[in-house]
Amino acid sequence: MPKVEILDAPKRLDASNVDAFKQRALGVLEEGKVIVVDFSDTTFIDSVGLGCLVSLLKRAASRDGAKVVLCSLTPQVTQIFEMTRLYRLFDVFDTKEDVEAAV
Amino acid sequence: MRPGESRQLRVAGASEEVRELALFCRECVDSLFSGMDASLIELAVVEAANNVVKHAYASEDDSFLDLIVRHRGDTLEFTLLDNGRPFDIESLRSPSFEWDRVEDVPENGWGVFLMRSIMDVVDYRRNDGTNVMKMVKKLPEEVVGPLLRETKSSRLIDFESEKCLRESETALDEMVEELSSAYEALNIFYSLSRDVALVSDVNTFLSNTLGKVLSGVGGATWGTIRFKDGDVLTLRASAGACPEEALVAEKAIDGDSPEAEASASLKRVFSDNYEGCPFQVMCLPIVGLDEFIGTVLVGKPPEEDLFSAGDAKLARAMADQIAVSVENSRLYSKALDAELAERELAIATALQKKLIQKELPEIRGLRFHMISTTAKQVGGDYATVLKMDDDSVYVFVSDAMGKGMSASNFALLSHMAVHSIVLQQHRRGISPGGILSLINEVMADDFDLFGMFMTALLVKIKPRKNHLSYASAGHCPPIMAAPDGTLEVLDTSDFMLGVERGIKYADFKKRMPPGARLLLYSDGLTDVMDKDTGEALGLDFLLAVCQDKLCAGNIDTACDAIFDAVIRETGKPIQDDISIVGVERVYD
Repeated sequence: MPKVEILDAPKRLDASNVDAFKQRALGVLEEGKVIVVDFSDTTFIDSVGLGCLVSLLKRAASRDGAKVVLCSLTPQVTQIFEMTRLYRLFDVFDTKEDVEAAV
Repeated sequence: MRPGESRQLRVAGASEEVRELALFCRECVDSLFSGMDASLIELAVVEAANNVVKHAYASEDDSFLDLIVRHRGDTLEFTLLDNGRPFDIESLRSPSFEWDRVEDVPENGWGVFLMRSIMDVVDYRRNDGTNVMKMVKKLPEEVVGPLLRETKSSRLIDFESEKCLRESETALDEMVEELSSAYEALNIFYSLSRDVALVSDVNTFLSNTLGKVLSGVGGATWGTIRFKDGDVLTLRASAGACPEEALVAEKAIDGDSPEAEASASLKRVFSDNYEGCPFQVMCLPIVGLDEFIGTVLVGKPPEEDLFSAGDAKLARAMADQIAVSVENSRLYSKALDAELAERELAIATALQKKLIQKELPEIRGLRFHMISTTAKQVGGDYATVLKMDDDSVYVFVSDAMGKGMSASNFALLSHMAVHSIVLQQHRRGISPGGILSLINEVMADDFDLFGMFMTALLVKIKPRKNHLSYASAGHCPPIMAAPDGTLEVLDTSDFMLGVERGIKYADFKKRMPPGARLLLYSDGLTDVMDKDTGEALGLDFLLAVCQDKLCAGNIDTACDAIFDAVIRETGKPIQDDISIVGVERVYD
């Protein structure tokens, strides 16, 4: 049974707060856990935020047990993932409960 | 935003300021686009701004980032200007999508890709040391549709919207042209107003003035000034190589309004020689207090370039300036003859009232109210509110010593100086103290000449940052009310303007959160006499009045109530000018 930790993404994930978010997430990955990034409050994400998620994904790939999945994407965030085709890279779930069931 | 409308905001070029731009952009687009599209547009603007902050600026102090949003035709245009390092155009390439493995996915470069995907046009160029990033987004059909239908159904609207379009297209070019000609014009105005104070002989003044008009209006080679004298226009001054027709000493007046007269006299003089190129000569009416005083005629040879709209505007402004100066000087000579009748005083007062700002600027988050009364004689108070962009507004109040003509001329000088210096220096990020120091320098000769002093207070407010900065040259200290009603008399210090050259005025800073109010005033408000003791009521009395009234109602009613309370206490007509400017930081 993998260890799971849920991280709430901020309301706006952008250049101004991405560093703090990334540090928290990297800490969790170091412990070999699965990160579930919960986007239910997020209505804005910019390219720096996207870059951070890609970077987390790369880090997780290099570590046993670590993984990054996303859940509860708002329409605004979904739109940007579709536009950049990054949704292909991530496991995306509708709700936190769906993640728990799958894991 | 409406068709033709344009809004702009300046922030410092730092990453923590980008969110401010994002919110401003959102306000501009929310009424025009769906929520989803509005978020995307916001994203594109944020990406462009992040790019500037990251690439153009390392950590420069005087960096800025301007966002200009324009509703132009069926599009919304976003222009970002910054003074940082040039942008590498190659980096505008989008990242590759040919990735199979996670390791190959790029972590950078998504910003430019997003801008390109969201906007219809993304264009970057370097212009005179400024980076210009322009992005264009087509408006949704449901917004453009009604607009087009309206233009088809009515010729008037058609004309209006086309005018808007034309205006916004030439707005930028004009702005540059206007800035340089405005500066030139202000310099000329400035020396004009100085002349009128020095020269009591109207004819000498007119010859000097005409020389200045000719040097100010592009390419003008000759000019005349005629004054109305009963039913005829009499030649009072001429300069340059005037055509013979222009030098006829007297001409009958036959227009029934100043404008009609100006146009009629233009036709009469030049119907033969200048047929077909009427703009080689301009005729401007000089209109005093609802009274036609005369005409200014300016011309140049027909083979030269046509007068531009800018020239016409400049000439028009100069004719107005001559009107004020002439009225002033007429009044002045009469004053010397001890014939200062009630009517003339009324004229002088009314002329000074022309300087009173009629429309205070509208800016989100702030509300202004201005009260300006002149005492029985004309006086030296001046106040103005100058909006530079959607997050910068200057409030200036000044009070020249004494009353009468010299004080009132200094109010005029003050008007010229503050407008030209703020206009010139705002983009350079100069502080209020710096501006006061410059005004002191520019006007130093005049202060010396007249032995005049002037107090002044300049406040710069940035409502989005809940912040204000100010500097004072011996002016009455402003009173600030915190949102909870606590009053504070703000620190002021420093010499009056005109005391010493080279003074550096200090800057003070203050928070101005929503709910806060600021009261600026001239000493007329604290110097009013107690009706029983005959002593000046002073600041303590004003503070007591403000305690009750500054936070009541909106700022308009609050200022009116303070004014009324003070006047009631004196029980007689006011002796000095009183100016009050109230500023309220309203809740967003």
